Amino acid sequence: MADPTSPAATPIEAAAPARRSTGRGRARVFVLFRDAGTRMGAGILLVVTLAALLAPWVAPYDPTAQSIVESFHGPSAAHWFGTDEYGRDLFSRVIWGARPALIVGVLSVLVSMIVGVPLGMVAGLKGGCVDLAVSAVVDVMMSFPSLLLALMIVTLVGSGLHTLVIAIGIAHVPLFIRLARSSTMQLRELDYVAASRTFGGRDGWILGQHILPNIIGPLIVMATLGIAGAIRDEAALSFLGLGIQPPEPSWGNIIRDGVSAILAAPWMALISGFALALTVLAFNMIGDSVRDVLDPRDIAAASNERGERR
Amino acid sequence: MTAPSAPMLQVDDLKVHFRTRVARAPWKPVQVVRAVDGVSLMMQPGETLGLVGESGCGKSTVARAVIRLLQPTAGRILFNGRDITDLSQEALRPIRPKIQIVFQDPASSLSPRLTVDRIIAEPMRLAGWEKSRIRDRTGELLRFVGLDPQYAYRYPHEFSGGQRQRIAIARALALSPELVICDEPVSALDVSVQAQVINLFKDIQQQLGISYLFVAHDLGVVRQVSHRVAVMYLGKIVEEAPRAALYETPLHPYTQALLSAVLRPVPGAARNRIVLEGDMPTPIAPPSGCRFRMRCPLAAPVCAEAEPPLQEIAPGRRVACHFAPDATIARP
Repeated sequence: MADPTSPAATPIEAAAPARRSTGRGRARVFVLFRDAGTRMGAGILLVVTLAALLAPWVAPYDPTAQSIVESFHGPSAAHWFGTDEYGRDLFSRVIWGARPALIVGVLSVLVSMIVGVPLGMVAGLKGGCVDLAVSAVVDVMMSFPSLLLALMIVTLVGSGLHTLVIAIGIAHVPLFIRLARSSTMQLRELDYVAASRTFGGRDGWILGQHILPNIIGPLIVMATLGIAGAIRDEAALSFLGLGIQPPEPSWGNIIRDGVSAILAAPWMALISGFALALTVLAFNMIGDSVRDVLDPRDIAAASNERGERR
Repeated sequence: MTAPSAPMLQVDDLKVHFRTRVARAPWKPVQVVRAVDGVSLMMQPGETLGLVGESGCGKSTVARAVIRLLQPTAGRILFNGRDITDLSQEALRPIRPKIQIVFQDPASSLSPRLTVDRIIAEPMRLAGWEKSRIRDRTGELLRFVGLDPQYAYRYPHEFSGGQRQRIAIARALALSPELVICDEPVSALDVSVQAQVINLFKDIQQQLGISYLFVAHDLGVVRQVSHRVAVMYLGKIVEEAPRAALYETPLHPYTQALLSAVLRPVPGAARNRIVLEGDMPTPIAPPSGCRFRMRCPLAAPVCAEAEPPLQEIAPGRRVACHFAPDATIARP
């Protein structure tokens, strides 16, 4: 077969010069921050993250240092958020409580993604028996609320940060399997996937080159919303005494202490509950606006855009 | 047009049936859609075979079965004498580069996430080529299909429909195929651009000597590119002939009706259009005997009783009609 070296004698379609390409990724991020909700969410998240990272330096007291004489002091200049039953500084405890919340939130979602995304993609691409088996397991897991599932795992394995990450991570796996599976099923019918097969592309190649880059958007949205859910679950398990064990502070166990002393020190439950709610809200707001920006109908608009967002 | 040599592609009695269930009624029996029900084809190197028919007749299914994107239910596909019908996807890999496909809609056949150079590089990367060789070849291919290589780092959505189809063609040519299957490659394009892309296909064939299995519903397009034309109806070939013969003296009533529907370039010319009644029957339950009889103006009792075989009535001319070669529909 001759090698095509000479140009074909067809008119070069130069009449329609291709549009100037803008840095797609960067443009997308700017679009994101045009939304007031995102800015607010990002602001809250920044504060919470900094608090968690800089806890040893920001917190005025050791979060576990007891001082019985100061038990149940209300908010004051010395103790901004007051103190608890053992006279521990609540401000310091709430700051340190951001650590397990963020660690469990982020790591458990990573666990869910690492387990769920490959399973979902393979099930979606292969179909048939593989899909049937994976879907059956997912259906069984989905029939339990994720918190109940996490609770069962923690009860079996025992509490602690590691088990929390794994338990909550596994409990959220079905969400990622479902999303990856359904997105893959939509994509596998597309001609560029078929074309890839005609070049000899195997399943792994197709998943890595064509499926994953196209489902990463929805996955990021799901991950952001998943972090919010995981933080809630961590707080719930700690509230039930199955998560972070006292005296280590976690928003969940601070709320529990506060509930049992709701009449003596109502600020305890209120303040830590507020921290929890704000953080969950922040992740939800960011997740929502990422979803809006990544909405398939908007992708063309966002990537072609030169300033205005519709 | 070509001297009879060993056929490059031979399709014997190909059948592609799909089993479907009635939605939300698993107790009902499985339905079998006979999308392709006994198609035989022969192609010589360097030849273009046009495959025409209305939508739903199974022409795209034939194309996808030949390139083994669909598993045939029955029949044989021989490529250069080798039976590829039942080869596993893995065993097929060494043959894959020799048969390529250009799809109808370049918007869906080019990944929106990849730049043009990466799109064109995909087959070469899968073939294990070195980076520098891929880069050289990509530029060469872009020039060859009439695109400026400096556009290589743009995304498909930045190009017009015709330019995108050129990208798809460049990708199909990357590994020097012997057979390119064109599945309605110009029907998604504007008429003005269609001609340019058709010319590109013809130029490529002249320079590289590759073969096309050209699937289209537009008889005008098929006439421009094909050496031979096969007409499909409801999963079967009803007529096959060299291009000139088919367009000048169509023998099958269906072909006659199809051709009469083509617009003439002469204003005011008599159209004498043959208007067929009804729609194509469902391929789930094709009619007994001749599949075209429900809509055929010449249908006779014999048509319901026996299925007319596709028989050779002149060299290179095959027709499936009981009344061929005298089946001529009277024009109004």
